[in-house]
Amino acid sequence: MSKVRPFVSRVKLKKWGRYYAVLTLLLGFAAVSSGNNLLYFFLGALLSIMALSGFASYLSLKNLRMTIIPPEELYARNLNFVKVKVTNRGPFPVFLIYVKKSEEEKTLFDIIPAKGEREGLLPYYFDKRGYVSVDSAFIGTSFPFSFTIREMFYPLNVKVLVFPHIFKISAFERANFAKNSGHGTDSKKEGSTGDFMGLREYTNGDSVSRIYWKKISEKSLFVKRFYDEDFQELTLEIPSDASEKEIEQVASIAVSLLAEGHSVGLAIDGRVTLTPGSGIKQKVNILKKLALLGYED
Amino acid sequence: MKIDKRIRVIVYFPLFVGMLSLAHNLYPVSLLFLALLAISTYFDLVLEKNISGTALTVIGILGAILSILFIVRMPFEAIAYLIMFLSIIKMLGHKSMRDLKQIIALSFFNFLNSAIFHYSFVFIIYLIFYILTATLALLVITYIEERKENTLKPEIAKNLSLFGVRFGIITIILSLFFFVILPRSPYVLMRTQIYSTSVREGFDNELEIGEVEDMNARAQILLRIKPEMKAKEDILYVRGIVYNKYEGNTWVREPEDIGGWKLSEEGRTHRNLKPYTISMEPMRTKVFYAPNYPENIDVRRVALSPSWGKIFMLKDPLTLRKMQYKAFSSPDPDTEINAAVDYMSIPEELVPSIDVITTALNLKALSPPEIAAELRAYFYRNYSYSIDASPDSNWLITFLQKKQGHCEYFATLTAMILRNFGVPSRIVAGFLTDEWNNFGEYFTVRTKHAHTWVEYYYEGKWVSIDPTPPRAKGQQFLANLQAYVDYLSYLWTTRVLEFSFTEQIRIFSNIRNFFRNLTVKDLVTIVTYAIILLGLVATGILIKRKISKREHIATRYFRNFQKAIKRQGIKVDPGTTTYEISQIVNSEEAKEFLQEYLQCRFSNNCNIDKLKRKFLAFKKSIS
Repeated sequence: MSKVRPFVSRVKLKKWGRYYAVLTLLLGFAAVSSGNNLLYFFLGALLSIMALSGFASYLSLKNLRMTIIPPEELYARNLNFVKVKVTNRGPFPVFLIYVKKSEEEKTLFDIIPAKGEREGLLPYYFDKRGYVSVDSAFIGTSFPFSFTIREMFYPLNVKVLVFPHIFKISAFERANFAKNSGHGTDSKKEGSTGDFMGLREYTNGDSVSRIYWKKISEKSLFVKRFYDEDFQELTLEIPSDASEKEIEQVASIAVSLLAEGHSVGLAIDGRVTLTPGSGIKQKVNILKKLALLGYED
Repeated sequence: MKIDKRIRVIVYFPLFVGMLSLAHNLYPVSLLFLALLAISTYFDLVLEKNISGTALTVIGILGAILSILFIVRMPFEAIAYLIMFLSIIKMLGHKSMRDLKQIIALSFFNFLNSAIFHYSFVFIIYLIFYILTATLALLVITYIEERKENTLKPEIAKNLSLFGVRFGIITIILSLFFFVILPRSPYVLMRTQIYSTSVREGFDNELEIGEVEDMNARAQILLRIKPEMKAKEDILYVRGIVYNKYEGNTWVREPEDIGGWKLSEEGRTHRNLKPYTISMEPMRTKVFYAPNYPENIDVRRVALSPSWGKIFMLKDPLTLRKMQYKAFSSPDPDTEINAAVDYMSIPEELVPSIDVITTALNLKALSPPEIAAELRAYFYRNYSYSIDASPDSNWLITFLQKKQGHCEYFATLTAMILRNFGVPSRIVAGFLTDEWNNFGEYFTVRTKHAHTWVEYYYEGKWVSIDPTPPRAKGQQFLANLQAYVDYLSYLWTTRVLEFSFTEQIRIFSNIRNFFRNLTVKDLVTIVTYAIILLGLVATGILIKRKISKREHIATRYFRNFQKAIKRQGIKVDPGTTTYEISQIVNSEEAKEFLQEYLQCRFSNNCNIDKLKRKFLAFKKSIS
């Protein structure tokens, strides 16, 4: 593994920069061969612009500090947006600063004021699930004149947990998977379409049509409760040596079911690791287990 | 995607500056191009109309072909006109991002080309403007290209402008540094010829009566002569060309060039020689000019030949760019008399007039110096100087009748009278100046200083006599300012245009010598100045920081509020929150003020007027 050196700067000449360099050389030749001091003056101005633009871009980057704030959920091979905060510690505003991991994963800041900061979202792809180290990113600029691109290698050393890749899954795929590898239970949940279940106190958001008018106390209203016919409680089962595709499939089904409000649990090698539950916390727990499946001893 | 009009204006600015700089010395033809540029800009910015790209390409190609026809005869001008033409065409077309970049490139070529034609220090003003405008244009182009936008937010525009100005100023300063250190070659491969409508006319082999008079009507600067010795003359006679033959109202130098004396190496070391550094404006001339009696002229890259009459001639009249040379002059007159040169002939038509004067003055018994002195005294007493004589073929009769005239008349008549008495005599055409520039310590020679005087041969030397009565001295408006501007122009010529490999060597050796000869006393002085400078910079930074940290306007009201409640006997400890203060003060007005203060101080929605009203209401409530 190569050693990480902080703030190694690299400069690439752009098309207009090449034209500029060639023109400057030609002008230099013209000045020397003609002895025209006004050409020397102009040549001096061009060289100054070249030198200062390099210096300005270097100064722009030198005073920048970058922090990466990863979101709670990161998925392998899915488009993630990582929050990037760039702070300018310099006394002057800096322009056209970009942060990138690759050419596709790039975010641009039009201006970062002096002693100020800006936040942006960096598109980020992770190749694999599990704990992944976000080692570095490039911070760069083509400011001030688009003659060159100056980039600095910025070490980050942030470790993030990347969940398995998830994809859209059809109802058929889900049913098929449930039939083959998972199983449903009879556990039922309150809904709106099933049999009468009982009464409970009215809360904000309850439909007026469900108010049980026959029982009205001085202080509260009651609404009727029904069983939810569509509700499922499901424990997804997966072997510990499951293929990547299987893990992604289970993750996608779990996310899909949880999004629909079902209660989902997870069993690994027939042993229930997570009892069925719902909500974001359950989703994260399932995805965490799946993200580390095969990596944990 | 049409680019916003304001962005286009920013990009057009360097083009305007570049074209103006180029047009400056191609007057009057360039006026046509400037007018066309103004029209095309009007079409683009005001009428928002553009011509199709194909039509413009065809016009551009035609223009290029047309310029090729002229390229052999006047290559630099043809290229300049072509660039201006292409710039105008570009302005007429549709403006995409690529077109805007091309406009900046064209502005660059316009300005680059102008460096060939310029010689005045106005160039530096154009350069400053060009750097500032081009920097801003490039910044804006870079910004909108990276952002893939076609407009600019006011905040960004403001910040970019600020950056552009700072960048431009540092660029200008750094350019000076590069100008000095960039390597010069003592061997120049190709020297660009000057092209300018303001090339001055110097003296030629013939001098028609009235020619000097015409020159006197103008005030163009021709030469700046800096004496290298401390003893300064009040007036300076600058020798140009010497004529010997008068025919048909014209003085002629005949034969044109016979080497009457040689360029002597001894002349350089002669103790009596006075060295002068002469800076010459672009001039079409046959001779080189030098004060008094030049023994030697030291000039680079121009072939000179010393000739009879103690002058330095060029084989053919040359249009010379601004240049600098050294002249070593002697106060002792010329002694050479060449048998091949006729100093004695008198045209028939002048004889009656000569007789009138000789009879009136009774000069027959006098020696040549006495005749010359008598004539001079006579002219001084009875004649006056005038440049409104309008000479014709009978100029001499008119001159004698009106008793006023120009130096050519006085000199011609004096020379002819001397010849009439058998004294060889000749006319010297040059300049007589008393315009001393205190700032640069040099004599300024203008066309109005053109002058002729007489030299007669007596006892083995050519004695000078100036028979022309002195001219009236006019008051110059803002003379000091004019002198200073002229001094800047002189500096431009000597320090910039004539900056050479030798100058570079001199500067570097001076720096080396400075460090070599540095004494402890010098070191202490330098350190002291450095400390003072650093102190000033540090003070400046502190003041700037203090200004930038100036308290919020709401804070000022809050402090006034604190003072007001203190006067009421309510003491508030530092660190007490506004809520606690409102509890202590227990007044509705105070609560309202404090609420407004919090709103104003810690949110982006601050209404100062409202805050002020609340404060005044509180003050009123407690008064």
